[in-house]
Amino acid sequence: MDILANLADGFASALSPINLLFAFLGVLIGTMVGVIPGIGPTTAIALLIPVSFSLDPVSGLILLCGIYYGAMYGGSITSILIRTPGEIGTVMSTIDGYEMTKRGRGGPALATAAVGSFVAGTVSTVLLMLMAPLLASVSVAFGSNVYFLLLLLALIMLSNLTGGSRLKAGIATVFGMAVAMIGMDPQAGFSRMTLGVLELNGGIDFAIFAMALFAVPEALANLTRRRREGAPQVGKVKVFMSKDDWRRSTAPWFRGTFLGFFVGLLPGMGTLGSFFSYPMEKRLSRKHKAEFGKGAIEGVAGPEAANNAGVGGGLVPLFTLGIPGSPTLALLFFVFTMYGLQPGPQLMSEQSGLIWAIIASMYIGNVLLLVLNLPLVGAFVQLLKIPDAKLYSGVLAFVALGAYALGFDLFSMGTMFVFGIIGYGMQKYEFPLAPAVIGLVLAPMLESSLRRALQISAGDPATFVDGPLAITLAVLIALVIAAPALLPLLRKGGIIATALFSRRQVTTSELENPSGDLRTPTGFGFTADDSQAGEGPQSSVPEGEAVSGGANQLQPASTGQRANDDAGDRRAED
Amino acid sequence: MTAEKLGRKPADTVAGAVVAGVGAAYTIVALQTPPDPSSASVIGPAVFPTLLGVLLVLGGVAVAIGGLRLRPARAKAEPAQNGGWRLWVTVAIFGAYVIAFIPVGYLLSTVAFLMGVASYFSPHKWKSNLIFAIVFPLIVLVVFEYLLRVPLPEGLLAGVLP
Repeated sequence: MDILANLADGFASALSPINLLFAFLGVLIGTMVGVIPGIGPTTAIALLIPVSFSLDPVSGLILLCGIYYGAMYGGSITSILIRTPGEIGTVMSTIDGYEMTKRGRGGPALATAAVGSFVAGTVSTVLLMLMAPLLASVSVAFGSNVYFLLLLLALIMLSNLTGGSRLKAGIATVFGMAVAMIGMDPQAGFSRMTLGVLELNGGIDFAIFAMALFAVPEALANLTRRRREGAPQVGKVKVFMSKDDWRRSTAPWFRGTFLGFFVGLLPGMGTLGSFFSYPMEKRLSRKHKAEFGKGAIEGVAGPEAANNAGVGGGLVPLFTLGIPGSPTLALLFFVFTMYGLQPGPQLMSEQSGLIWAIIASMYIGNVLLLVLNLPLVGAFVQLLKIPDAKLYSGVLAFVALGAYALGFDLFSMGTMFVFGIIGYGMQKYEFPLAPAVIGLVLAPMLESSLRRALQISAGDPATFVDGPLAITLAVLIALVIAAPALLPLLRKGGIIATALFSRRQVTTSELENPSGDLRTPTGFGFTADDSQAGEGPQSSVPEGEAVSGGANQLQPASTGQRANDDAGDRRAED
Repeated sequence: MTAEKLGRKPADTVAGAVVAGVGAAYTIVALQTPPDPSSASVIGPAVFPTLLGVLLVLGGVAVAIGGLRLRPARAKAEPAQNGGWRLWVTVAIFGAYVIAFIPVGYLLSTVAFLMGVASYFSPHKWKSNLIFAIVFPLIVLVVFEYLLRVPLPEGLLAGVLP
């Protein structure tokens, strides 16, 4: 059992006192930062990247993984208690989680989220162990043409899934890619797009870009918004679960875990498993169907588990193909490269010690989350009482410090400032920010694989439809691009099919306005980073009722696809 | 669907025009990239940036035209107003902080920045603002200098701090 021996080594490394301390610190800091409204896991990691650079790779990555898990749980806390998700993955938990809080059951909701995350972490660690080496051995054989298509697919899916206008998301992606072109061209050996500015020869630092785009606009918007509300009122929360809660949560945890993991495997889907989990739990529930939207614990247990399992799923393509499936994973990807590690097929074999230590530390982070954070929920909630002026001026000060720590010069800080202002403008004009960050990460790989593929084929573009794998990917890309045009047709088909099964009359209005009937949770209007733009802490999540209408008719498999297309034109319905 | 209010989105037209302008400038710079000296490559260093620049122009134009189109107005509540001059004042304070960070030093510049922003937004709580503005950078300084061993600029306090 090679894998088990590797994992044992990984645990031995991760369980050293110093690494354990970093895992603990990571979870603690992550939760604290994750609780701050508008600062989700991605921003938390971006903010804290400079901190990790002074550590050795294993400790630094363990710290960041701890921050990731902690921040995800911080997001769950705010989703459940004050209905403010820090990122898209926890949007679904706000529906029943907040309803539970209103009914005085916030404690059980937080408990089921934490235990669900733990179950998901455990199972997905095992799945990751089994799948990653397998995929790594297959992917070594991928040619540049297949790799290019994979990257392109991931890029298109990522920019599609952020919600809002697809066109603007596309522009944001291209903007990130354009920024990535600045600096040395590795193939030609000279710099380009620098306008002769020497400092730009090294390119725009990814961490500075991510920090500027994720944290600065959020802080500026929160500081300057006119509508000022008092701190959200959160009463005392006692975290516990009754016997009945355990019984009702167990199956959703496991279903959510498997669903989330496999959704997470797909490039660009990241942690969107929760969006499939919620309608699935509602469909499967017999006794408590009526409770969904009014505080059903299954509606928290399933999506929370799926959200966490998605992390494990997303690590598989990251470790084996070098393709990050979400903005947060893109940050981890960047951290790997900063430590001189190139995620991809070789990483699993060359740096297996480090990989297994990270996998082990993620697991340890999960355990720490369970034993340390649950009793501390009350303390974390107190953070919400810090006034905006102090909270977000502190965030800005920390961003400036982070930019300094990355370059030790005014240029890094100036870069941060400029991109922070650009990010604020993008957010104000509704261009999502996450795709820009993804574009920046993926562009160099996309370009070099394109160049290599065409060099090998001597300029023949037919290389991109050469072989079954390439053809499959090319067809998938075409489908993803064409999806918005096809979906209305599919929806009409779906309504007719539903009507046939239920033998009821289809009204013409349903056919004219299909989305009115198959309404999905409006949460997809958010992206990881613009969910909070300029809005008060209590404001951001749609009414739970939006879900109740159609989720029982919804095929889980079609939710995300539909919703992402629909988010843009949903405003037309109202 | 018929009774709905129709409206344009002029903000989109402005944003689209800006994107297209940036894209055009980017394309011009990209086209001036010299060719790869080792002529073996099919795709030279100018190709990808040019493509991206053109995509930005096309995307910007599409957004700008979309903003001119009449479409059902959003029923959404008016976008949270991010007050104009409040924003610019904050940005100016932040910019000054970035510039002063190295010459003035971390501790002094951060205390001034935090005090400045906090007093600007909540002027009546000067006591708690001051405590916050001093304690926060001190904690960060200790963590970075002594735990993480990342040296922060001392600036005016050079030689004064231990």
